[in-house]
Amino acid sequence: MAVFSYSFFILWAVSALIFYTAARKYQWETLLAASLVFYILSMGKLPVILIAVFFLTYAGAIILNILREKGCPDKFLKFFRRGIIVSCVALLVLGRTAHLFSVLGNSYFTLKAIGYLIDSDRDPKKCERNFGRYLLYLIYFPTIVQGPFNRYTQFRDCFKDVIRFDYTRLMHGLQRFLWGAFKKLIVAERLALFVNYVYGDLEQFNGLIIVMATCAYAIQLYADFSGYMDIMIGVSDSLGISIPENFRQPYFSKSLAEFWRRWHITLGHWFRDYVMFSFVMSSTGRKVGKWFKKISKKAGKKAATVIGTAIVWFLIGLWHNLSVNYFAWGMYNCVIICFSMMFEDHFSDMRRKLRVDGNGVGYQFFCVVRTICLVLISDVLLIVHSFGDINLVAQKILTDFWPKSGLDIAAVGWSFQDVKVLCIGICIMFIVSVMKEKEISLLHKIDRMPLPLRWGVYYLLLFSVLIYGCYGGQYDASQFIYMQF
Amino acid sequence: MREKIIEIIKGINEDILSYEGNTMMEDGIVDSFEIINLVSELEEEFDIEIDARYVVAENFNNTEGIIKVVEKVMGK
Repeated sequence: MAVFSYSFFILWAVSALIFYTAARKYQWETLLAASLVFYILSMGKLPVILIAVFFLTYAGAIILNILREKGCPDKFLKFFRRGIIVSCVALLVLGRTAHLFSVLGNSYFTLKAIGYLIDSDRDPKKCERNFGRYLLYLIYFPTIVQGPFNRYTQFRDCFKDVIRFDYTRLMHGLQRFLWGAFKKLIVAERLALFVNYVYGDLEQFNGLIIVMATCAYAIQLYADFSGYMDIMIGVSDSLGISIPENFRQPYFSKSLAEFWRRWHITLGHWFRDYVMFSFVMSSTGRKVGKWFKKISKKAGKKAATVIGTAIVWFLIGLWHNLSVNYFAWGMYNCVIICFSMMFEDHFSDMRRKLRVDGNGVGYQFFCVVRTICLVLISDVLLIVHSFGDINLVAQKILTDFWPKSGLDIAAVGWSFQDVKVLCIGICIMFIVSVMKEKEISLLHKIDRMPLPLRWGVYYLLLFSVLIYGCYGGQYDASQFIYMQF
Repeated sequence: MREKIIEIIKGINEDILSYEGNTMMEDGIVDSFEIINLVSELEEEFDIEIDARYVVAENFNNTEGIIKVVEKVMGK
């Protein structure tokens, strides 16, 4: 079911209406029904993998807790838990590789289910006996398609008390929805035309145009993915359910590691908690640390972390897609992050020797630009169709940079008005990002505006999306980039 | 013990000490490498082994949370 479709709006409005009125005592049940409708209408076939992952982790968590209570040996429990996790991963791979078994949100609900299993094994209070509530957690419609990865206890706590209708929260939710639609329909969709045009036939373009298309892809990806998150956070907020933020102005990061702490935040947290920490604190991770400590104390401290980072990036690459591109992308990020971690002290020494003020504005600006350049290179790995294309991109940038004629915007599929709208849209996104970075809450600023001005802002946002958004025809606004994962 | 823990935290990331919230890891006050360093220093100082089950955001939420984890592991 596409987000920008009548069926989605009807489902959202009807479930909100029932949620706050007739079924106030059955709120999670209402959302479960809405999520099932969303899932069934989106899928159109039996989601075998979802059912299998659901039963494996739901029953598995309960059995693990019962066995622990009965004093079952830790070794057996560990073996049992690992068996379930491996089965879930195998089902994820099956769903990603065999078209017959492909299901909506496979990568998302599988990781959520594995996280739940580990959490409930670590703390029995987190184990859920009510299968309906747990199923809702896995398929809650604002999170099933592209995340975010919320944790079960946070989600469960939302239903502790009856959720009462809150006008301010509803308005905040609607504004977030419109802001997400603005990013997606006004910015991302227009940029997609340019990116596809250039990367569809690299041969005919010069280096400058390719660099511009790569920058456009970076903005498109951000506007698309963070736009979807804004939309779903808005939908969920209107239902009184908080879901975590997934972005924190990533393009203001001063290092690649910081960039990934600000981009797809909840995925990073998942891998940090369930892979990175689990590895470093495991007996294998400790052995690695001890072995390297024999060489030097510093090496011992960093070795397990570096290996843990490498494992995380290998898995994140494969999680996105079982392809060479994503494997290379994961390894690229891994090498840079590990390299900067290993030589951190040397870089500090170098800065001291060169008398560079690490906290100075100039250096901070350099760090931001450097991070953006590193991200752009990683983006090239995602857009190209083959490794030959990477070679071609490098060759064009190094030897054939300056274009001999201007860009034919009509061939891109743009009109002059599209270029104007795009520039204004990107400027607005930038200003909002700067405000957020400075911790200025735009929503609260709008709340405090006089009534006519406040409604003026609402209508401006609504009509800018309705008038300047890209709909129908050659555009397919229903597809979000991260849906493919 | 409290003083020693605070001393170790100070050596890793001073911002943790001035942080007053409850979601230190989520708020980006501390990154995963610093958490691993912190755990390793605490283990060395108090001759303990902190299991991965304790190294979660809800435990490492602020200075008090870190102190509680060490106390828990030491069985105090």
